[in-house]
Amino acid sequence: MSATPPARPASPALAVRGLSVVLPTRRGVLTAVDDVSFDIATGEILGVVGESGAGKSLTGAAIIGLAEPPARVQGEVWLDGRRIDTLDKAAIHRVRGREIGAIFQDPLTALDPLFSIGDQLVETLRTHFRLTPADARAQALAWLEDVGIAGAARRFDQFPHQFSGGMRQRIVIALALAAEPSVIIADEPTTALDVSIQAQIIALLKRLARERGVAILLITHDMGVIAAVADRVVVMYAGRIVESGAVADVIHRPRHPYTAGLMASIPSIAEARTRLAQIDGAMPRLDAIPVGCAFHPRCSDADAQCAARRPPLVASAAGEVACWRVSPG
Amino acid sequence: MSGGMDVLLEVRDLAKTFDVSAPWLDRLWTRAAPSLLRAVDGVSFSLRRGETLALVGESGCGKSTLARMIVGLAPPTRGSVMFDGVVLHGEGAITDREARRRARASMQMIFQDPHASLNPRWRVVDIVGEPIRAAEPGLARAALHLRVRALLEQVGLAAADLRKFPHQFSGGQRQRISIARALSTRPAFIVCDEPTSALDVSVQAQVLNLMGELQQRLRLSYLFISHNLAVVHHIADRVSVMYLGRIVESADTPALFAAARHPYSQMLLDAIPDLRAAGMDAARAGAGGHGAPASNGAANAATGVAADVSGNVSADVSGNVSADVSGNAIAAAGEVPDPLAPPPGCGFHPRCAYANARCRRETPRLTRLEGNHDVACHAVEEQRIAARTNLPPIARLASISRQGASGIPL
Repeated sequence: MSATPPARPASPALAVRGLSVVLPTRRGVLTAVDDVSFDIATGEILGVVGESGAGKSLTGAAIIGLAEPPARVQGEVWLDGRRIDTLDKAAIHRVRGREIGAIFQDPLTALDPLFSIGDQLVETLRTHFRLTPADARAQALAWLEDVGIAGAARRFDQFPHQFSGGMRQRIVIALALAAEPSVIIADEPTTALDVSIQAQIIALLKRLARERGVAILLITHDMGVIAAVADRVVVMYAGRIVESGAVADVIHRPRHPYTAGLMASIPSIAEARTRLAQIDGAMPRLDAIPVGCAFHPRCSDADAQCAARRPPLVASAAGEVACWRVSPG
Repeated sequence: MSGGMDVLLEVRDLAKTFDVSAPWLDRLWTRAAPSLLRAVDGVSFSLRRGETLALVGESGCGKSTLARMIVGLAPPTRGSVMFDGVVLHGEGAITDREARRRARASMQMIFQDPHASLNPRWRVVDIVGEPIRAAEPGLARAALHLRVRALLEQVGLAAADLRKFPHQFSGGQRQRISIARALSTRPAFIVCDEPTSALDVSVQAQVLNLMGELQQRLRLSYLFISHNLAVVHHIADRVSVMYLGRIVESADTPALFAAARHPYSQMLLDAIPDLRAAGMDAARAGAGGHGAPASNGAANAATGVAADVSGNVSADVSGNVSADVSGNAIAAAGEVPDPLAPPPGCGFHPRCAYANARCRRETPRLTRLEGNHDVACHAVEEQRIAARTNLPPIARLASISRQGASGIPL
C-alpha cells in the first residue's frame, strides 16, 4: 500500500484501503477484519452487510479509531483526501464527532441519562463551534425539529428516559449531525427498533444523505434495510469482503455463492415458499477460519482450488467478487 | 364452545392487568389513583391441530404476556383457556392435578434467546432430559439417554452432542437444543416466542425449515410470536395483529397479506423493507462497482426521482390518506402510546388517518368481515376505508414505472 491518496474521479468522502484488524490472543493472532477496501462518495449510502462475526462492526470502529488495544489496526483510512489513521489520539478525537459522526444500535447507551437532551446537544454544538448559549440553543432546537422530534421546544429539557426508543435514536442522530460531519458511521441503527419506527429512521437517513450530502456507512445484518436505503453494498464473510456492487445488482443478481445463499434464505412477503433455501453450517469462528476460501465448507459449488487457495477480490463492471467459481466480468 | 373436534386450543376473553401502582402507603399520602397496566385486554381465538397462528405486533403490545398466560407462566386476570378439551383457566377449570399436569406437558415453549434459555452449567442430556424426568420420575438413566439421543437426531444434532455444554454450540444449534427440549414431552402445542429473531438469516432459514418439518411429521400446532412479518408470512396459516393488548385484525395469512383492512395492519405491511424494492431507489446510472460511484450531481438527480416515486406510491395505494413524500405508502407515523395511559376509544386513533369522533370515543369490537377475516375498526365497519388490494411490492413498483417515472429499471 502506498501513501498517496487513491486516484479517483471525484475524491470520495471516505476511502478505506487494506484495512485489517488483528487480535493477539493466547492461542495466536486472530484476524477479525482482513484487507478491507472501499470508498464512499459524498451523499452516498454504502451498506455493509454480514452475519454475526463477519467483522462489520469492527470495521466501523477501526475507521474512527475506536478499535481498542489489544486489537491492532493496519491499512489506511482517508477522509476527504486526508489520511486519518496515522493521526495521534488527540487529533483523531477532534476528527471523531466533528468530521465523522457515529450512530450505534442502542440509543440509550449513547445518551447520558443525567443530562437533558437539550443540554447534550448544546454541549456538542459548543464543543465544535464558537456559539453563544442562546445561539447554541436555537441551533439545537433546529436540529431536533430537523430529525422529527415533535414539540422540540417543549421536550428540550426532558431527559433520555422520557423518550421512546425511536425518539431516542432520532436524538442520537441529531447529536451525530450537530457537528455537521461529512461522514456518518451508523452501526445497526434500526436493529433495536420496531418496524414502523425503523421505517421512519430509514427515511430520515435517506433524507440526510440526499439533502445534506452526508456520506453514510450503514452497518447492518438486515438485507431489507440495505435494500431500502443503500446505494451500494459490501458483503462481508469471516472478516473479508466477498462481494460488492450496486444494491440492485447484489440483491437481484448476487454472484458470490454466499450472497446468493443469503438472499435465498430470507423469507419474503412477495412469494410463498414451503421451504426456505438454507446454507448449512454457520460462519466459522475467528480461530478456525478455513484455509482457501473461508466459505468453501458451506459452499455447494466448491472444488479443490477453493479448499487450497484464497480467492482474490476481483473488480469488474458489475462490481467486485471474491470467488474462484465466478468468471470475471 | 364453538369450533369442531379439531380445535386444540380455545382462548376466550383472556386479559391480564398488572398493578404497577406505587406502594399503598405512598398512594395514601399522595392520593394517587392505583395505576393499572392492561397488558392484554380481552383476547379470544382458537387454534386447530397442525395449524400455525402468528401473533404480530410491536414491542409492548402484549403478545408475549398472552403466550405466557396460555402456557400457565402467568395467571390471567380474566377469561378462559381450554386446551384439548380441558379447561385450564376460568369457569369450570379442572382441579384434578394429574389431568392438569398431563395437559401442561402437552404445551411447550421455545424462547427467543437461546443463550439465556439454556442453563450454562448443564449438559445437553440434562437440559433436554429434564422435562422427561419430571414427567416420568422412575425412568432409568439408560432409557433417558436413548430418548434424548433420538430427540437430538430429530432436530439435526449428533447423538454425541449429548455430553456437551451449551457454550460449545452456535446460536442456531442452541435453538435446536431448545426445540429438542420442547419436543421431549411429546407436546401437541408449542408456543414459539420470537424463536429466530436472535439468529442470523442463514441460520434462521435452517431453524424455520426444521420447525416446518417437525410440524408436518408430528402434527404440531404453533403459536408463533414475531415482529418479523416476512417470517410470519412464510410460516403461519393465520395471523392475528395485536395493538395495545387487543387483537385488531385476524385473517388467513394470504388474505391478510393481500388485503389487510385495519389501518394499523396496513401500516405494518407498508413498513417492511422489501428486498424487491432494492434498485428502484438506488438505481443510479453508472453506479457500477467499487470503482465508480455515480458523480454527486447524478446521484442527487436519481434520488430526486426516487422521492417523486415514493410520493406517487402514497397517493396511489393509500387513497385519501395524506401522502408522505419521505417514505412509505402509508407513512409509518407516530408511535405506540403509553400503555399506562392508553387513548380513549380505539387505541390506534392518534396515529390513524381515518379516525373520527366515534373512534376517539368508542372502542371497536372485533367483527367478522368475510370468511375468516375479523377486523376491529369503526372506519372499516362504516366503510370509510375502501377495501384496498395490497399489490405485492413488485407489482406496485411496476405500476409506478408505468406512471412515467422514467429511468427506473426494474
